[in-house]
Amino acid sequence: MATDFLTIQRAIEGDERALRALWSQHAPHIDAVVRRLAGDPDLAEDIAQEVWIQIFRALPTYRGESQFGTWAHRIAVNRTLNALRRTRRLTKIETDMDEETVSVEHTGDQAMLRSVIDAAAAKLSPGARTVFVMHDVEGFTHEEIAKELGITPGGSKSQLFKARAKLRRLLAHLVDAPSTGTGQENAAPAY
Amino acid sequence: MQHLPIERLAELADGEPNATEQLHLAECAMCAAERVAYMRVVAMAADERRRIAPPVTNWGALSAELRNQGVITTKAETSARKVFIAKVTRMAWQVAAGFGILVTGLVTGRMSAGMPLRTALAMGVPDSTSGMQLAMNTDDFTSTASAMQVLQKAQQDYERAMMYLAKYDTSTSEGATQAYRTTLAALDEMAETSLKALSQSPADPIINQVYFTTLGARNMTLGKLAAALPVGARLSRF
Repeated sequence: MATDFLTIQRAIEGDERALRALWSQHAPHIDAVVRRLAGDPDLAEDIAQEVWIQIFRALPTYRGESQFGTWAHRIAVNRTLNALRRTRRLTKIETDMDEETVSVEHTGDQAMLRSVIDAAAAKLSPGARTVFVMHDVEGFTHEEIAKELGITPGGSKSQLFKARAKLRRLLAHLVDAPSTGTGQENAAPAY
Repeated sequence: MQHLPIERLAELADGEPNATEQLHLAECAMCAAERVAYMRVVAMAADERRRIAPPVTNWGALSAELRNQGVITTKAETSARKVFIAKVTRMAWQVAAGFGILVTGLVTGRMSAGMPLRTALAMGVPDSTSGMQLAMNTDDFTSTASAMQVLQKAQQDYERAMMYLAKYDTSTSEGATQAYRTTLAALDEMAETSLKALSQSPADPIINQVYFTTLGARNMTLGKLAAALPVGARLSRF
């Protein structure tokens, strides 16, 4: 659904119905971005509210040069990263991937709403998950990620490839071709 | 045979191998299979971007904060309401004028056909009791503001009930997911149509109600559909 200019104009003027229309239309996608980056659903809920407030406060600066959804998506990523930094979840951005991280367990509805890759990504270290989500899910370049996270593009690549390697192991049951199913753990070549 | 390093294979999921690597991949089935596995991981991640799910935020809490911060202004609401009231008043006058012309025409016509004025008037004016009946149910409202409040509350109650059902109603039947997908497609069409109508008449509370109710129902159906899918299944389209 496209967002019409009139709704945005009314939202800038502070019309609740217009603001609500924007939220209703875009929340399924914006909140999903926040949830993926945050990893933890409770934290995602708090951050998502902050994100929306930021989006609405920044509305007067929206010039219509890109789709509203794209513009809001950028704010969502930026604001979520700031919030994560505040919660010190990104302090170990260069964390060694071999270090085991505690997986987040979810039950009931939350587990139902979570995809396999989303659940697997939750087992990565916060820094690696952020790079993976930003690059492979959200489509950021390594240069953009480096700028956002204050790391080098090389560091971003290194984190990404380590994250992929770990995910490949975690998702072996889904990504291994049937013919290579030898029953061996991870079914990876013995390097 | 020297296999390609794991990290290089992970990189080759969306990168191009050099000539030496290409030769190796052509000869080594294990490395080739590994590269395919990494490609699948990357494809799954890309697919994740299209996944849709019910929002984690809720409008009640968000609007309260937006009001606190002055993003939602009562001025805008008041002005939108004034525009609507002015429009309705203008329409009411137009209807009243049309009605007056109709009655005058009827009475004049009957008089010109030789009917006495008293009889013509009695036949020309519609039964007042039917008009009373139309107005009867609206007597509960003391002002347009109170009517608007009732509408708003009804919508909020409806949405709360929908959210509750989305969260706790676990009854699903065979073929339920297809039914939810069909409902979602229909709700999207309704939302598109009501959004167009809203562009024409942004302050009309009825169109606003229809639009928000449709979006609320859409979110609820999304939740129901996501819950009806097998554990781990992705919802990226419907």
